[in-house]
Amino acid sequence: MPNRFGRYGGAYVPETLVPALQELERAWVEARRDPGFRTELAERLRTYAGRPTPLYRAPRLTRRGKGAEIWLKREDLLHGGAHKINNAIGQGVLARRMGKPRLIAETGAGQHGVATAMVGAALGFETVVYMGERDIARQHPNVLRMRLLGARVVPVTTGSRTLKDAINAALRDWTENLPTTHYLIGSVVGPHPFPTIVGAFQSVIGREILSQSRAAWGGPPDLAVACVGGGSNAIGTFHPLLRQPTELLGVEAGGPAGHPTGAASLTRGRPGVLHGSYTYLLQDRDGQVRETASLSAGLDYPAVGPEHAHLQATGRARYGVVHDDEALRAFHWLAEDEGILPALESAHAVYAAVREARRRRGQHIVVTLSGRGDKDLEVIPE
Amino acid sequence: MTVGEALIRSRQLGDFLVVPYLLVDRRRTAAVSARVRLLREAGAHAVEVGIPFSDPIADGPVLAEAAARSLRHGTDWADVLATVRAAAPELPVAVMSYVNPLLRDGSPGTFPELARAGASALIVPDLADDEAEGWSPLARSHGLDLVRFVAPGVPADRVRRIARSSRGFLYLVTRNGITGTRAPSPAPDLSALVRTARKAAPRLPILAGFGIRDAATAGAAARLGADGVVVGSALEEIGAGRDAAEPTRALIRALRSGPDQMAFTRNPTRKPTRIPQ
Repeated sequence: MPNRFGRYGGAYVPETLVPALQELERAWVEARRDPGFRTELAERLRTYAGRPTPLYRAPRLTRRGKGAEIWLKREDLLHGGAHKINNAIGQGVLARRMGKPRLIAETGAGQHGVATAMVGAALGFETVVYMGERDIARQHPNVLRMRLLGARVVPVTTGSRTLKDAINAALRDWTENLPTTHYLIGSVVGPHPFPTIVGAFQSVIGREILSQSRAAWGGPPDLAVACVGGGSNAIGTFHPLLRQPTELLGVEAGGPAGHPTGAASLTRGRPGVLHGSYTYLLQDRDGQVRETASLSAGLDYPAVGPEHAHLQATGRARYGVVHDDEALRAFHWLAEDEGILPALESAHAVYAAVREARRRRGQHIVVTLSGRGDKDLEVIPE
Repeated sequence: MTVGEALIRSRQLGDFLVVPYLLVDRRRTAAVSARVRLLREAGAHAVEVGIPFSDPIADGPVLAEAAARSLRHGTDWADVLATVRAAAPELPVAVMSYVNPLLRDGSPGTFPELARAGASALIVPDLADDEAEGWSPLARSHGLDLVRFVAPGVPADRVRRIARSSRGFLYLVTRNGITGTRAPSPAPDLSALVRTARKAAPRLPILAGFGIRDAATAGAAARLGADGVVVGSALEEIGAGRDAAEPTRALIRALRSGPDQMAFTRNPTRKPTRIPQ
């Protein structure tokens, strides 16, 4: 199985982790070929997660855009309120096949932690979720949900106390507990084979978009837009569209207006190695990873999935930046125009889609609405 | 003398090898020379100079906190080079760094500067075998030996390949875990792994690391067949203060006495692994 996307990816990890990554790759290769695995996964996605999700034509948001028709891929309607469940179920079933009784996960906004906690409960795992202290403070409702679902939430007090430090903590836990534990990573980041596996589990989003768009207007979207933190909902959206004539636009968090980097690693970063992967990073001259800034905890990550670095390098996908204030505006547009409270992460993509719509009269734009916004109510200024 | 040459020579003299780890810290650069001299006089055979990194995934709480503190002190690349330059006249220097601080524009572009400053070996904890292939010849072309790691659970054929391509010494990770912490479960028996590595690379010194903190843990490493130990967290815990000299000397002496602990093993008659000289 290839371990890079062009120049990007790889597995820059301590030798101690190599046997576990090899075991995971073997399990994945076997599971993928096993009709029993595929059937169980499809069944759980349908009856537990709530797939397929609708592709919704957003007429009033379209009017605001004054151009292309805007359609929303409603991943916010999934159980738990975000696309994260697609991957959590997939890896959960995989972990059970590997005979691991314990799941660990990192979480930023808390959505992946919630998805892992739900799967942990439903499949009978002991579940531990690492979460930065700063994220615990700004995403408190999700902390309560995880605890109610039976997961232990461990506050991470090192470094910037956000998502990247939660990943460091999870990697350390994994190193110490390899025989019993599966690290259920939440995005298309980390060492090979994680980006490939997570991308494959999320690709259900793009597969549905393609068949739904064909049914709705007889062809693929002209433009697909998704927000990019680590980039899993975007890879899931883009993958099945790579061979279509669809333009792909990933939207990174620019943070507060005027901030030099925000959390936009592809647009404002340079190549480097973080969390086992060669990819784009926000870093200083000496290779120290920078602290990021974004109102949206789920995008607040200084690196990005290596496949996005590759898609940017080949020009197959474009990446742009949306700032905090713009995302907030889009949040209110969607609330007032369509009666949908989007996650702040997804609001970045909505803003970019409306901006793009202006010059695309007659086209169809699909925006992946990766999650719902209930978790953000405390962060949104009234 | 390079790190590898110094280790081989000291082993020939019958020494149990001790390589302490010093993290670069802007507030300590002025004292590096005196500190490394102290380590040499106490019996250390080489020194590892650690470059702090913002995301040290292989490090336990002691070294991770030390790295974070160092970065808060403003430690930068100039401090790294100054530390290597100050240490090199006292002891052979191996530089320990995660991958990212060694990169410039995405490629390992820092090797010439490190070599010019006096380093002769490079230890990169997040550079597993598969990614190290390209780095080893590049490092060697700049006069740096790339030290490779073997760890519990690594299959024998991979151990052989890693041992053959490791330069300077072979770093034996003694247990599944991170630096400094005490093992949650008993360490796996790695003596078979050590024998496999030894057979593949008979002259290469093997140093055990992760969790080495006293004579007993050094003794356990000696029983596995290691030629010596690397010590980091235990030294960092002692610190670099004015009263650190005596505990530092005592720690190095205790570690050097590691093989003497073998008398207390359950199987004291077992012959130590024979090392071809």
